[in-house]
Amino acid sequence: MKITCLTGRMPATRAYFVHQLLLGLLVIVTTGLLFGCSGPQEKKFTSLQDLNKPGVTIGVSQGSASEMESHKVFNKSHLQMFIVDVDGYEALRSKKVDAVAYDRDIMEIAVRNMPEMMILPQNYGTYKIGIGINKKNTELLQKVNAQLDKLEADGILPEMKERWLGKKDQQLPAGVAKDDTSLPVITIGTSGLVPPWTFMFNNKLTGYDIELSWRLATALGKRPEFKIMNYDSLVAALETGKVDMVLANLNETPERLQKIAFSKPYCTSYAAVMIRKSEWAGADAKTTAAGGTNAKAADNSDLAYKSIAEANGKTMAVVTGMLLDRHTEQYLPKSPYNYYNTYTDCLTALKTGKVEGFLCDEPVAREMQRTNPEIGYLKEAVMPDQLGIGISKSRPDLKQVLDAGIKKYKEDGTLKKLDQIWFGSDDSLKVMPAAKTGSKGTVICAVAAENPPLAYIANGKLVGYEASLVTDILQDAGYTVVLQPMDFNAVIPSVASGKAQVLFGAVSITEERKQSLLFSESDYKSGLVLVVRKAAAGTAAAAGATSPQDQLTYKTVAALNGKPVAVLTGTIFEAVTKKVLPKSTYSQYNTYADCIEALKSGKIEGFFDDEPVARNMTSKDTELGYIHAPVVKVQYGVGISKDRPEIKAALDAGLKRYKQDGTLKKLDQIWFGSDEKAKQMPATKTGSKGTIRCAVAAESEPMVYVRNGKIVGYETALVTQILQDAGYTVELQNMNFDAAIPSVVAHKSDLMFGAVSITEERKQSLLFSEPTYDGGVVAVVRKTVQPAADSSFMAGLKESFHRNFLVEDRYKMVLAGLKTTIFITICAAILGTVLGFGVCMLRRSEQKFLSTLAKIFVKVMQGTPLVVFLMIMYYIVFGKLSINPMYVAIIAFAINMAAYTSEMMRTGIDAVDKGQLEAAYAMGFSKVQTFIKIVTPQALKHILPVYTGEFISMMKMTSVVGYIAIQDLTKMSDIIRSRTYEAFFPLIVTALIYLVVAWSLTSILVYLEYKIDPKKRQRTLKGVQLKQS
Amino acid sequence: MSMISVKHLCKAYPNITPLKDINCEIERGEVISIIGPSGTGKSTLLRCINCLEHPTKGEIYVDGQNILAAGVDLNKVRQKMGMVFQQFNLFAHLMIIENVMLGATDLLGKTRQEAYDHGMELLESVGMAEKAFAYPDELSGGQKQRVAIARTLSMNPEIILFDEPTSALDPTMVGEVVSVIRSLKEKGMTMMIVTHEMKFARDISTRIFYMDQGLIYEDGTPEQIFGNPQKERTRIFIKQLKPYHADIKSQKFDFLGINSEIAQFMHKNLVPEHFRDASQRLFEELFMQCVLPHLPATFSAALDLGWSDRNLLLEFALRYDGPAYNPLTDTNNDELALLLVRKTAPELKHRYENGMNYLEVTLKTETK
Amino acid sequence: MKITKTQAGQTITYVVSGRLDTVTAPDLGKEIDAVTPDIKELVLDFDGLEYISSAGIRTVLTAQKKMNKQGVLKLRHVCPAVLDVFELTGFADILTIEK
Repeated sequence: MKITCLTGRMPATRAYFVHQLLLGLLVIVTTGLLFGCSGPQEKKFTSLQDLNKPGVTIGVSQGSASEMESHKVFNKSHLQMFIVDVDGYEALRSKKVDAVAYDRDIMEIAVRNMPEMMILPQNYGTYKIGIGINKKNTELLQKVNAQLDKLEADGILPEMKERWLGKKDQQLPAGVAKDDTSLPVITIGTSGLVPPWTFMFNNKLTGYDIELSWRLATALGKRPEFKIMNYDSLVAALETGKVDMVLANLNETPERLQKIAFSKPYCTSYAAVMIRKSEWAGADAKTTAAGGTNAKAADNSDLAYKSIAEANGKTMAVVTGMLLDRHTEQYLPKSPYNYYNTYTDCLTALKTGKVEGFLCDEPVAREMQRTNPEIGYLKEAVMPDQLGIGISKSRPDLKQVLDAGIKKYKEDGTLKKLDQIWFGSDDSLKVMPAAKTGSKGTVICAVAAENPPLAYIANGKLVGYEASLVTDILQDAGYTVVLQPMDFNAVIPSVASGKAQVLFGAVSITEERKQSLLFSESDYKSGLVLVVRKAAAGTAAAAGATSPQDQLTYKTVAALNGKPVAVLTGTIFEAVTKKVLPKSTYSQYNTYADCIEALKSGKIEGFFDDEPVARNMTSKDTELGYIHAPVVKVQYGVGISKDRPEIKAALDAGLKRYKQDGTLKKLDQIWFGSDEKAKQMPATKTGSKGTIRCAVAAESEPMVYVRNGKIVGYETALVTQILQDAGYTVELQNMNFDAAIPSVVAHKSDLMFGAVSITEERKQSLLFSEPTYDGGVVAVVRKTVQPAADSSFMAGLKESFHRNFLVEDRYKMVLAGLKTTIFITICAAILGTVLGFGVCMLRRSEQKFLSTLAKIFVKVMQGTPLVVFLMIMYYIVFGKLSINPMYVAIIAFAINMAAYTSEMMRTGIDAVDKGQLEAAYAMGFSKVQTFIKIVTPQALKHILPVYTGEFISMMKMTSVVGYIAIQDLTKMSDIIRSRTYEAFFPLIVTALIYLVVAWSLTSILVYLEYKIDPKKRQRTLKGVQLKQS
Repeated sequence: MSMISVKHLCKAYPNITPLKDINCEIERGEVISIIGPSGTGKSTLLRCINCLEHPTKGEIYVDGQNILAAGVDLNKVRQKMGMVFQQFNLFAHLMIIENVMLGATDLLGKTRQEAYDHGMELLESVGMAEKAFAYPDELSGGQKQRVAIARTLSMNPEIILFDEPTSALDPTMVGEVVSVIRSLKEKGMTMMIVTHEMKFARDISTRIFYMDQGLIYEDGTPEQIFGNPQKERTRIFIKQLKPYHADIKSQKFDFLGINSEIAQFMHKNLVPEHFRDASQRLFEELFMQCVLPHLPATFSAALDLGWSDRNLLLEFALRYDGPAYNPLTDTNNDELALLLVRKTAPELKHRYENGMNYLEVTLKTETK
Repeated sequence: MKITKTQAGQTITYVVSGRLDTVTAPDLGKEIDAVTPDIKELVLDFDGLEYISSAGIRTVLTAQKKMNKQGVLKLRHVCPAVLDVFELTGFADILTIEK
């Protein structure tokens, strides 16, 4: 059959036609898939109203008040339910929903960990938060309301708000949770998943609502018993009387008021919407205080330094060749500075804490802030600046062209448009104009290509605001444009030498430069701004690099008790360790380096150190931090040989003098500062009074240490200075700490120093000078968070693992959940198997009535979803009884297991050959004997494999017990997720744990199968003397 | 007193009644073979004796005790009887020696050592000692059956019931089982054997039950049953002939019907055509032409055909009551008819016995 | 048994099929008795006749005797089994058996 094909051009056979059709389909499908796979197009929202459109999906928390409001407000959008709020955030992250609608306070905490998200400024609902109480319990309601009034009047409620909502505290204040077992119990339902209201911290329930619960319970003369359950179970639990009150950020809604009673509101909550920052095109909103922003820093309040004056004196970074050093000296006269090659290097130095800030061209700073939410810049420019395009003096024609072009673009708004594009967040718009060859010749442009967004390399190509501008103008004027990227320092020489005709790339127009170059009109009004870090949440913007305390693996010394630690041999730290950490084992190390290495590799959890040394070390080492609170205050001094009292006199006099005239303070500043250049030793002087041999333990930076082969340091400089001034020659001998004192005692040295604490014991063998330093002993520990800007995937994984399992000993929660899961599984399995056997016997009974009964039971259980059955058992069957939900779960699972097991057994039994039964009966075995001796061994062979599968299946089904307030393994992972807002680790690890448990349990059953197989037995009889053949 | 006494035993199912009315006495030391066509209740009888089937009616006395009465400890009764099954029914999860030991240890209370020693002896006696530690699925059919016999013997039974012990076996393996049973007879064991092996039954039995039509049709010594069976059906069975039987009771009988039945019988048994012609001819000429005119209005006559596909011969037997009358010698008879008869069956013989006339001949393959 | 009669002038043909025995032979006998004397030729076509007994033979012989007086009797399409019987009884010679 000939059919003209679709193109109409040539006749085609039917086969060809079909072929074409299929090909076409393939193309369509593939394209569709590709588009589909690339995810939904990024939308743009400018207001809350924009979210109420068909095609927009909004995630809402099931059963929450914001859900009900969402139905009204977002009636045109598609609403997607999630049970736990972290599921919603995950959905937003993976673009499954366009927005998440939930309570503002809760999302504000969440958003701190999700810099790519923002909360829309508009609220779409307001709620009163109250305590849920059973409608019938009017007495309780009255009492609770009375208490709430009192707490409000006493100012406790506002104070709690400040602590929990403002400062974001994490622990209950002392004395609130009085566990008096003599008091009667009041059960309180809560969800445990929504910081700061109710959440888990260090495996304990804590939060505003929890604190309030304790206060109310105590006032009512009761002791609270908390029941954690899924959010949407709380109201039901209240109605059925399983709990007396519910405190869980419960919003008062008309629907809920129909079922339960609410106390007076104790707080107001707002329903807000969270969206991805990249999809927000509306007016720059005032975002939450702790969230990231993509707009200019509206104010400096979130910066580490709020003004130039504050930053003056801190170490700065400057980019070589950009005159920034001069500007820094001018505007931050007290600040030492270090040179870096590029702005990018400065940024890295800032982020890792090597410097505290750097001056920068405003456009560059602006762009940097967009992509690095942890930094910001002071909004007042240090000095105004204009950027322009530099032109070879021999090419005034190019200047004319460029000036004309820039003028034109200013007038017709192209410049503004370019600004919006290149400083905006839509990367798809950032394209260079198409290359055109011109007739007027080639213009080579030297470009300082490390200044986003003015000129930078993206995807291997040179792009940017200035790059685009210049290319456009020159090409329009008929020139062929060639862009050559290079270091900033190279651009001017390049034009000066004639290799290039034009240069640009955040180049400021200065008088000095005008002497060697022509400049176009300014293409960008800029300014010099100071870029600094943002103040990290929870810490004061402190001078110097101190360890933010909540980044430490252990936040208190008490937490270290019981963990292995290290001790530097011969120091007082051994005694300190024994006293302060009695449960810890400690290993002795010779040097600090060894201790540090052991700490980093995890052999030990911490070690004690002198505060100055710790301070200095941890400011340089990003992996370590120290617990600020010293365990003991210590004074360091110089240890002097007992028969050289004159040295002591000289030292003491010198110290006194230096204290008075401020030299000591200056030395402190120098040696504890970050300016390495300033750390210079006094020049060596030979004295007339003889040589003093100083034994020094040169490992205590910055007190005494080796740099570039020389012994330097605070104490070194101090002591050297004093002694030299007193007319001695100073000889320094470097040795291990525990060799220093013996050296003095043995008269090999005259004195020793190096962060040596003055102790009574030592005073017995040495004289001590006046203290050179007031310090203390602190514990050095690892930091939990690596603030590196570009951590590899593996490092990120490690970090994530740490956060999810090791912080606050979260793995303990996982273990507790695992224990619950295993307990329920095993009890239910045993009970279920026994019950199953009973049902099986009923089923095989000759009495029609019994066997029909059994058949019905099995059919019903097989047809009912386990979750539903579980809840029926809990809320209906055992509803009135206050029985531990664990037992309800065991019973429910056992019954379900019984149904399946009985069928398995029936099949297995029936599979045994009837003939053997007859043979047994014929021999005189009773039915029971036959069943035990003949049927069972053979039936088991058929039953075990299927039984194993059923057992594993049931174990996995236990993951639903969260519905009835049991914290099993799955629930624990929910709780962890509610703190870390991460999905990967908690979920994957939970799944892995289930897998491992299933695998090990299976192994047992497989082993049993193997043992039962008669063929695997030894071919011999036991207990019998065999005949010899 | 007989060891087993069966009185008016009846076993009925909704569709079929394999045992109508069984009566027999079994003495100690007897070896009784039960033969007969399939589906005639032979196995059912055996299974009723040890109550694997529950009889509908009747009584069974074992050593004077009515085992069908209420309150009887059936298990104890069964322990006195052993049974060997067509499908062997060894316990698959136990080794051979364990199969043989199980009854002794669990039911007879012997020690494992005793059970083992006795068990090994028994296995030796059936020639299976070598395989004591094998599992049943590792043995051949004949080996399994021998083990089954040993297992039965381990209970020291008073009587062993064999339910078609060799029917599931390869002909090559039948011998080994038969010789074991033979040796049991020599030891004086009382046995009841349901079997298809005629030769074996003839050699070993002290008595033969021929069961047919729900009854013990004929009962006698092997010589009697095999040598001189009284009843036609017995004879036909013994000869292992396929029988056809038609009763003729009056002058108005259905000739055409019988003719077509003969044709059907022949067709069903794949009998060559000339036998059919010969039978029909004989019947028509002999009976229709010659005999019938001499019979009264009603009488008792029968036609029996027996086809042996083994030997390819057809036994033709006509009988009728009344006074003695030999149509062959009666000259009044139509010559033509007699001629045809003589030509068809030259060896046809007449005899008169106990008031019954018999006209009998064995037709063989035609030789032209 | 089935009898089909055809007449052509003075020849009558009976096609006889089935069995010719004690029960069926009288029917043929009746037919033959009814043959009028003017018929010169009587043909018995035994195509389909499977079986003949003494009664049948007698009927044929009666027909032979009758036709001897007024004409001729012919037998046609005699199958081997029936032919056998004729030969067995010796009447094959007397009868005119055509192929």
